[in-house]
Amino acid sequence: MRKLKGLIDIFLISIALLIGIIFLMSKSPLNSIYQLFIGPLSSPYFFGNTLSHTAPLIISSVGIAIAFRCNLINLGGDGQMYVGALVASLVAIYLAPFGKISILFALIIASLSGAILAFISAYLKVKLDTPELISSYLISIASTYFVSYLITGPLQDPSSNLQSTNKVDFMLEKIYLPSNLSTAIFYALIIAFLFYYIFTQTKFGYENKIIGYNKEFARYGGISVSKNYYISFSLSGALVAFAGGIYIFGNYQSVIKGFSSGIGFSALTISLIALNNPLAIIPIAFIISLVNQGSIMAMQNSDISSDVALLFQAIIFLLITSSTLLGEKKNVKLN
Amino acid sequence: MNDKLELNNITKLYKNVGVKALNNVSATFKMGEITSIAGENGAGKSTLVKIIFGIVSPDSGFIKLNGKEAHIHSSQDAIKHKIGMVFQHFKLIEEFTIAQNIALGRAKKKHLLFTDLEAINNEVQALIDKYEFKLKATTLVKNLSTSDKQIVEILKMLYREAEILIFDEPTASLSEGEAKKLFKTINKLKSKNKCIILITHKLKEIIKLSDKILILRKGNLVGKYQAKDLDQESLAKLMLGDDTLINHDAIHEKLSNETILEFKNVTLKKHYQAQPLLNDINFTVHKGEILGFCAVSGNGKGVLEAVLGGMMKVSSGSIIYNSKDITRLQASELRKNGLAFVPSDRNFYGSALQATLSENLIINKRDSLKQKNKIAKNFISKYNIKGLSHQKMGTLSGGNIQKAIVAREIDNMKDYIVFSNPTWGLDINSTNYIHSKILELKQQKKAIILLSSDLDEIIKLSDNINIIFEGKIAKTFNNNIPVSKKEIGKYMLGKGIK
Amino acid sequence: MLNLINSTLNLFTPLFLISIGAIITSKSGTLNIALEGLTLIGALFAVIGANLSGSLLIGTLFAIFASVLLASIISLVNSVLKTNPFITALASNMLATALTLIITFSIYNSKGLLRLDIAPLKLIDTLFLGKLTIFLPISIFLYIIIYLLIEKTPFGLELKACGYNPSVLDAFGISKTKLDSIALIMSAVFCALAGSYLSLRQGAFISQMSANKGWYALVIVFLCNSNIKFLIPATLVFASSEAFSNYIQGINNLPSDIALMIPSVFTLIVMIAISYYNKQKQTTIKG
Repeated sequence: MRKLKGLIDIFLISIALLIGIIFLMSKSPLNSIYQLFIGPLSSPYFFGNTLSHTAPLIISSVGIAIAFRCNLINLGGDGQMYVGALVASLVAIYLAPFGKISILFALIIASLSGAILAFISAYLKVKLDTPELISSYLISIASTYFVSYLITGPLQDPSSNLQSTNKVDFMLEKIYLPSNLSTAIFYALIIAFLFYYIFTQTKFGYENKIIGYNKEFARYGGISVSKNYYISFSLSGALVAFAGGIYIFGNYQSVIKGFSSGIGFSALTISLIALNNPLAIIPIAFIISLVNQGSIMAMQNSDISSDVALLFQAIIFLLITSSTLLGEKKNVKLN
Repeated sequence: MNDKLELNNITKLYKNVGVKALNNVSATFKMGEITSIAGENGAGKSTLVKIIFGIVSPDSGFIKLNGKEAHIHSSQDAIKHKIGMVFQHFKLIEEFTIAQNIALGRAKKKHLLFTDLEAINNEVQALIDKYEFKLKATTLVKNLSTSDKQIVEILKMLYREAEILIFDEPTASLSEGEAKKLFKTINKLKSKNKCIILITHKLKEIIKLSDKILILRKGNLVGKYQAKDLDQESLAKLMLGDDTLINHDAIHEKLSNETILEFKNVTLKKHYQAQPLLNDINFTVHKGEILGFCAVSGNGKGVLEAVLGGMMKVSSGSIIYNSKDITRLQASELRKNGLAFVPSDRNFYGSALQATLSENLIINKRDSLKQKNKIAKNFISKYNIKGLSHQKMGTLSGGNIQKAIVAREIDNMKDYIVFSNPTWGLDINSTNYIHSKILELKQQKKAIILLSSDLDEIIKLSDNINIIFEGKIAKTFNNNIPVSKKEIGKYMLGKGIK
Repeated sequence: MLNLINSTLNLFTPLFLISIGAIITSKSGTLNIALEGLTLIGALFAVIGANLSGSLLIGTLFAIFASVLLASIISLVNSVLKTNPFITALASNMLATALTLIITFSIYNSKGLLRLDIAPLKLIDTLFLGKLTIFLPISIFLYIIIYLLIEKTPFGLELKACGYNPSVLDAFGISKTKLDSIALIMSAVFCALAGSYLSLRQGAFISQMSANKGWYALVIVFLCNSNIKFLIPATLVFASSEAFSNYIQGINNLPSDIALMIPSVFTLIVMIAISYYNKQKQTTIKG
């Protein structure tokens, strides 16, 4: 209960700071604030789009939470998502003759690509004690450049005026026209519930958590820590890449250069606020998505930069592990 | 003689646990005197000295030094007031020399800015010589023995001109011989007119060493005595209150011939080390036998523990369990074979302090996770663990943490169990409880391996006693014929070996 | 060839400055992932300060002020609110990115770009090494100062003690929080200098112009095993990889994204190599 109160405090502090900064920066602060917080709720269209962006955020945050739970930090989210999106779109285009089922295959293979990227970091961690935090970040930078190269080079859609790949033929079904909201939101909810079950009711979930608490105790009790690291980190990368695929089939239809930049960090913020609980991730991902959408509207309809959303996340991020505010005795333990 | 340190009506309540750690405690301490604070685990001894050293602040009451009220809010304040403390776990930097360790935080400078290493070395060496210790100021701390490290701790306080010296369980990690040396040192400090405060739960040490004894029970000061007026039994009674001492005598009946676990020529050697960590170890444990192992630290007892728990692999030889070779099995496979293992480091290996009690209890039964709470409740009532199943393990007392570990491991056992320092740091009640459990297992014809640095425990419980010295079994005693501690001590130091 | 040496030295300067910052915090036992953001903030405020005052020196002082301010906020949040230092550092990087974008957009109306109104940092022609800036000798001079500070002073002793075994500091009457904060603030000064160099030489602040140098600096510190003596050669290795990346970008018509991949891939490989080496060494010493 004290924790919940602390979380709400942090939220309120962050919103207050954000509003303060808007007053400093904007000539018409009230309009900016309206656009930022109410804008996305002002019409079914905007509301639907906010929900539509919530879906991949939920999935990637659950992915990040898996790593967090066993005390690993997956800092490679941006790259895994970018690669996942590209692989998904390539597979979907290649398998388009098979019809809508191509989406399923595309998402599976995209997840696999993210799992492989993440597995490298887990492998280095287990075999050589290389900090996964740095290796996953470096792999993310390198793969981001590589995907950007493909998007702007050999795989660019010449007919598009955006820097993007060819469009995929099939999208997930829209359920709330005219907005972009698709069945993706159901898949996201299913994934959140599924992982809630896995975390609380299965042996893997238990082992994953115990390793996070005390690796040596886990080892003593006969839990294979390295096996769990491999599975957890790969699964983490897989879900983030899966979310990348969802962006294609739910929102963008093609891979746009740089679209994933910063989403990995949003996912980190969300799972930290949610204390790695997949059910708590659902509303928090929605709020972060709301602020993201609101910031874009504020940029279009008032005089503040859309980066206030990033600022908002940064402030929450700064405060969220505070054991003082959360009323805990010990620091949240990571690494 | 005037009172050096005076405690006045000190009260401390731990709010989140709802425990009154200290209730209106008043006491005085004099220069040139050794005062022991005795009490069971959780009696408030540690809290009391932590208050004197400024780590914990009292809810009410005050401290007087030399007759004047002193405000000690941090260890820095305490150091300024010439109070020093030797912690159970040494606070030393292994990579630094003795002199660097001692001068850290108050190093002498030259040319305004730079460390004057030479002056520091000389100064520390002079201090070492003054107290007649056999140490060199320029030795790296990581090359020192445990007891020498403790001397560096003492020197650290003397360098800061401490007049009040607090020792928290100073003999916990020392061998018997080393402990004797420490007592000499403490007496030397007494003769130099220091005020010494000692916490230990080894009754014999208290009686032998102290001038005055303060007895705490559940946060209350229940008595102040002159050491000469008490003996071990009366002291134990005072500490326990109405509880009577239970004294088990090991049941040394004729052992069964049925072998459960056997070590055959087990050697563990790292290729870069000249000395093997374990050298040709042979032993068998039979049904209903308690096989004891003791050693001075650094001789291979810890390695043997790691091998038994599957954390380290042997280089040659074989380990046979019920005529099955288990030499190469991983910890997880040993667990499936019914390994039960109470490790010596209960907080680091034995439990996850941030996880709940039930999560800790279920680790060997994680296939039946759904019945987590039922299983936990069962353990809690059967073993009388004082805690709730959803309570964080770290908020339990040391004795209850150990009870939970013992409960969990006994439950996972097929035919044998390993105990390593099972009662280290526990109070008399918890110790007795665990000893009775071990003897119960013996009666159920289980095979028990007991590794312990507590010789009394080894002698009290074991049927056979193995002494490890430099990786080898130096001597095996059959405990049917009474053995003296002196005799065992001789072999532990490698003296009886040709 | 001279070109390559010259561009290596010019790329060396900012990386070296950040690495000095990284080694100070590494001595106190922290993996400082805030370097990136501290550098970025410095780069922006150097231009703001220079434009306001018309002086590059005052611009640099502005940069130092801004980075130190950010570092102080991080320290304060860490110590008062007892946050997880990794997460706080990551947050400060996000904060830096967001602030630079918002400030350039709101005040200067061009998101992520701010031009320098006065002449950029002068290049001085040296006899053998091509054109260099004053920042190179300054960085070498500061390096010597930091070397002496860490190895020869009581403060350095305390800093190292903090890195070796922070749990003992209390007993010495030393505050770990204070040491951590001082180390972080000192590293902020070096990041600010690096940031100033980047933007004042470029003649503009460009968003994300720190270009992961803060992360490379961490790997540089790994590479020299936190031994300050090896900092110069370790940094040179990295600077030459960057120079090489720029070089082939210009010559071979290579797509820029591929060329830009080189430093990160190179860093990753170096990091794996060091981990491998350390692991081998560990198995021979400890087992």
